[in-house]
Amino acid sequence: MNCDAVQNLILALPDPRELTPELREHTRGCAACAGFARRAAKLETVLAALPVPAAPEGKKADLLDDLTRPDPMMLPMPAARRSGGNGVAERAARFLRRNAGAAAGLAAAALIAVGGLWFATRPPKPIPDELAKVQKHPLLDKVVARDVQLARAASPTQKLEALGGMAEELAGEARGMARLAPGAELRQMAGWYEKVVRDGLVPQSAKLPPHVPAAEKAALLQTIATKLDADAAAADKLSGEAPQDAQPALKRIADAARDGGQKLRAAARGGN
Amino acid sequence: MTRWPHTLLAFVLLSAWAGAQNGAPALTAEDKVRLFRDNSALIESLVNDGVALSAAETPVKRAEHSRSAARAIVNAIAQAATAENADRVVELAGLFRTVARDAVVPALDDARRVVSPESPDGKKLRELREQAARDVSDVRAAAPPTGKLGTNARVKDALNALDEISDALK
Repeated sequence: MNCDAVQNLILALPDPRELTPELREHTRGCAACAGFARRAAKLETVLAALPVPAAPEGKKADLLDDLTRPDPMMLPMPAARRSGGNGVAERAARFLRRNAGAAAGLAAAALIAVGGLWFATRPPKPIPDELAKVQKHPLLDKVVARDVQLARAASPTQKLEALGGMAEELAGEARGMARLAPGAELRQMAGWYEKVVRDGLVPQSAKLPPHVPAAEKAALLQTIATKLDADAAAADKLSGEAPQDAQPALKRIADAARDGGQKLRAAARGGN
Repeated sequence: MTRWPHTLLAFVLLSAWAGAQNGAPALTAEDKVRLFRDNSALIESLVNDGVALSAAETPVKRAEHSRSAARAIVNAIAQAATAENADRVVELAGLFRTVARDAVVPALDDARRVVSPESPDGKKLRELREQAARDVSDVRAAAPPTGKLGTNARVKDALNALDEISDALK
């Protein structure tokens, strides 16, 4: 049973404070559903504790009379009273009693509309300082993951795949930062990209072992070369739109990608 | 009879759930530039170590460059600790743990299986293991238990998580 099903079943219980054995079994091992069940139980308790106005005197007897009254069940519409505010109030109350479902639906719709309006127009919530400080740097996480991948790589093929991924991520980051970061920082990123392509990918392409079939080598190198071509094309395209001080770094990335792609294709043709 | 209370309950719960969907805030342009500046020296080291790892042909070299990557993170942790930035210490300690557990320890263990303890590589390997153990100690020392950082619950948890690395390096 998945968590959605469990939570739906909790909502469907007559009293969510009393879980069935199956639901209890699931919530014992699932923190999310356990929390959901706790909240549902708390809500039930809170709703039960809401103050309810006392019924008018004699209401119970009237209700029992209504229920035990002989046919016809459908009563004729009483004649409208022309005077007295009480008549209108009584009619309204009677109308509401007879159309409780529609009235509740209308009230719920109004509540949703008001809630939606509030949600759409509320001012944006400022990000607390604490939250802002813990923002993770996606590129740092990715580079760490690639280093671990490279440390565990048992073959040049795996190293090529990891380096190809690292190059792609660096190029993507540089493109993302092209309109934001000053030129010096983009040049730094371009330097990293050049290093990965020039000192990583290209030498590794020559180290593919002889026992790897030529077609397999060619396919692998061609795949990486195609990605480098895409990096080059994207950097070229962006350099036409990016601020002027970003353009040299983007051009360096495009050049490194094109050069790397050519060398990888040459290695693929040579069947190294 | 219970249909309406249940519908109302479902509506209230759904509203509460929808209200709680704050999600991770998207990074603003300033955040991106700030994060890049904070991490650029570390990323540069890690890129260099990654390329060096790709060129490493022996298990000892792999262990050496893995440890170098871990050390770069230790240095960044020391800086974050000096600045008393607990959140950054926690984040970097997590990354250090990943590199130590998934790269350094396996590389040292792999190398130990193929290197004779009496050989120069064997000696190098012992040094690397000691250095790696010292790296873990340095991370702990950056946030001593009695200091402001060391009493932070998240920092404590992050440092306690390094116990497995210390054990593996014994």
